[in-house]
This record gives sequence, structure tokens and C-alpha cells, in this order.
Amino acid sequence: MDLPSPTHTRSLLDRFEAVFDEEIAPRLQARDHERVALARKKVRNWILILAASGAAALVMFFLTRDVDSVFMALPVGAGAYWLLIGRPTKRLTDSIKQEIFIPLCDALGFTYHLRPDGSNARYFTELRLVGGFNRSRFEDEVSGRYDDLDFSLVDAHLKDVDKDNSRTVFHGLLAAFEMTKSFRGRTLVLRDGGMLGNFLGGIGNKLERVRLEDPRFERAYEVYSSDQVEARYLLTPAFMDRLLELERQLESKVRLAFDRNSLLMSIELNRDAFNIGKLETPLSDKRRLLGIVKDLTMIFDVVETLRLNAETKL
Amino acid sequence: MELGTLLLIIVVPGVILYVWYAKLISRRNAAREALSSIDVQLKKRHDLLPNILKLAGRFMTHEKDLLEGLTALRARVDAGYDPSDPAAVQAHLTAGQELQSGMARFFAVAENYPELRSAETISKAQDTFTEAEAHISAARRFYNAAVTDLNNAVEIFPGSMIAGWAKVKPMPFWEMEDSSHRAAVNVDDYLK
Repeated sequence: MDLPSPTHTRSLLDRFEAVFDEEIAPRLQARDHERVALARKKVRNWILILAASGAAALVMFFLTRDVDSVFMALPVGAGAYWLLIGRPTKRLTDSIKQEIFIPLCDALGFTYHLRPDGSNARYFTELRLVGGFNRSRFEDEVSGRYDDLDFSLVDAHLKDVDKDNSRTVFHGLLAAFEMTKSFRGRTLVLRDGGMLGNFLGGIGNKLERVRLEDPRFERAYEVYSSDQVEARYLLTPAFMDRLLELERQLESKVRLAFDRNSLLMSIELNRDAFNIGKLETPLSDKRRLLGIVKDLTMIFDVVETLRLNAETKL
Repeated sequence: MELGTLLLIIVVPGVILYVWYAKLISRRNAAREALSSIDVQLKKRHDLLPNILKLAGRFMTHEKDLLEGLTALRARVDAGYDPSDPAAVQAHLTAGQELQSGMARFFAVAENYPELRSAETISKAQDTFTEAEAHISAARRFYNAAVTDLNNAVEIFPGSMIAGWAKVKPMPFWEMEDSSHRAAVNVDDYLK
């Protein structure tokens, strides 16, 4: 498989390929008929959806004698789509994901949950790592220990919905890492919002603004802390460099919080993480591993780039 | 001249002067707060010293000068000083820096005493010392940032005028490296 990447990604991919070939692929091959059957049903189901929508449109028109009322058939079409195509596809995708993920995570000593409760997402909002939300979807929680550090990572899609519109607040990964450094206060590393944004963001904020020496870091981030010295103890010049480097590697916006002896992190992907690809190719297609490996290596990137486990504690 | 215009001429500059003055004083207080945070961290480090020196005294009988030097340095750092006097602050910070260098030298010399190295207290003390150093380094960065703000406000016109009138003086930076660290290394010394 062609995946230009750091050494750990390469070795991870090699390990995953071995597990995939030995354990996962035979099971997926045995289930490939489910995918084929679903694809076959898809054509028939599309005809049913169109028929149901057309019938609903006709009924609406005869009831109201108003051409505009035919658009009221759209929800019927959407409902039929979800029932006949969306839901069965999602069920199969979820089931396949578990077939792939559980053995892969087992091989690394990690734990996997397809539908975590995401109960600590409110804590991320409290720390301003993600905005306020009232609708949430959590998937694919991976937790475990890497390089003697406990971590957990979950794919989150958070929305703020009111009766007029729906806005995505966050779509990406929420991660938590245990820290080797001990600290008592709270330090937030948020995105720089420009002069006005920073001013508005500071209103009602009980934490003090921390100005750091690195101009590149200052351009990218805005740091707040309950303890000026502790903030600098955590955000050493080397750590600031590494964080900028990590963001470049991940090509995503990152926000951090140091709180209760943990490092919490939101990584904005604007897509679903741990994607196994579409169901148009055979289930045992090895390319399904690529999305998983790419996202899973973020854990290693964070630990290794930020050197969270470093003995020197710098 | 109308009363309104007259008031404007007096009140507006008065308000500007007051705001500038208030800014200077708050920056000076911020720098003093940062200085006190350095003292808090230095104190943590100093609390480690008596036990280390007591234990080291048992084994490092040939390093009497080093141990006595550390005790004297500790006393110098612990001595009170006037935070409003830049020279006194500078002397205090220099003593802190010298003690740090002295401690680093002590741990390096301690490597030559296996009995001492094997003592659990020393190994724990060294870990705590490294941790304390990281906190001191953070406090130093906080202090230097606060001093930069203060000194800019004091030295740039018209702040310089108001500072002179309010008797706010620039404060010294805490430079980390001592001259021995900056000196070029002669490789020949290591190749003899």
C-alpha cells in the first residue's frame, strides 16, 4: 500500500496489514454477499422511493389543488430514502467497522467503542475547546495506553440547532491524554481570533491572558490561564514549537486545555474520522485500512511530536 | 475662551495623564508580582537544600568548599531585598542564578561519589531539583515578559516623563546564562 508517512505510521500499517490478512479479511470475505445484496436492493429501493414520493406529491396536489404543495412530498421521499437505503447501509457500515476495528485495536492493546456516550463533551465546551451544542453524535472511541500514557479519542459531530437553522459547531476528534507533568491550575490554548475576537473572547473569562515570547505561536493561538507561571511551565518554548509542527502535520486546527492533570485536545477535521470508505468495492479491500491508520496515527503524532511522555519534562 | 473649551483643554490631557500613570503603576505592580512568583519558586528549591547538604556532608568530605559555598549562596538568596530598588533586585536575581549554577555543579560532582549517588534521598532530590528548575524557568519567563512591558512603558516618551514624575524605574531582566556558559569551549581541553 502506498502511504508516505513517518516511521510509526509505516510500522503501524505493517502490523495492521498482518492482522487484516490473517483475521479480518477472511471474515469480511464471508460477509461480502451482504454488500452485494445491499447494492442489488439499492436499484429496486430507488424506484420505490421515487414511486412513494410521486404518489405523495399527487395526493398533496389533489388535496390542495396547489402546485407548490407537491414539495410537501419531499419529507416522504427523505423518510423513504432513510428507511430503504440510508439505514441498511449505515447498519452494514457499522457492522463492518466493528469487524475491522476490534481486532486492530486488540492488536495494539486499545479498546474500541462504536457508539460511545460522549458524556465528557460538555467538559470540552466548558474549556472552550468546542462551542456550545445541543445536538451531538459520537462514534468510534479508541482508548488505551501508548508509550506509558493513557489516552482516549472520539469522533464527534456537534451541532447547535434551533427552529430556523442548524450550525455545525465542531466536527472532528476530541482527545484526552494523561500528563506526566503535574499541575494544579487550568491553561487554555485557543485559536487567535484577531483583535476583536480576542477582546470579545476575553469578556467574562476568569482566566488571565498569557502572552508568550514566540511571535509565530502568538499569531496562531491565544493562551489563557489561572496561573501565569504554570502556563509557561507547561508551554515551554520547545512545546510551542512542537505544537506548531503538530498542527502543520495534522493539517487541522487544534485547541488544547491543560486541566486536572490531563491534556485535552480538539482536532478540527470537518469530516468523519476513521472512515472505512464506500461499500462499492469488496469488503476485504485493504484500502479500507488507510483512513483508519491515518486517523489513528494522530494519537501517536500528538504523543511523539509534543513529547508528552518525555522524561526531561520539557 | 468659553468655559467648555477651557474644561476640554484641562480635563482631556488630565485624563490622558492619569490613564498613562495608572498603566505605568499597574505594569510596575505586575513586574513586582512576577518577581514574587520567582521568589516562591526559589523558596521551593531552597527548601531542598538543607537535607541535600546534610547528606552530602557525610560523603563529600573533600568538597567542603563547594558545600560551604552553596550554604553561603543560599543565605544570600534568602536575604531580604527591596523590590523597588533595581540594583537590589539585580543582586537578588544574580544570587539566584549563581545558586542554580552551584547546584548544577554539585550534582555533577556528586556523580563521583557512588555511595552518595546510591542514596535514594539524593536521587529524589535531583528529580525535585529538575522540576523546581523548570518552574523557576517559567517564573523567569513571566518576570521578563512583565519587565519588558514595564520598561517599554517607562522608557518610551511620554511614558518616560510620567515615570520620572511618578518615580517608576525600569527593572532588570533576569538573564539566564552565566558568563561561563557563554564562553567558547576549547575542544583541546577535552582531547588531552
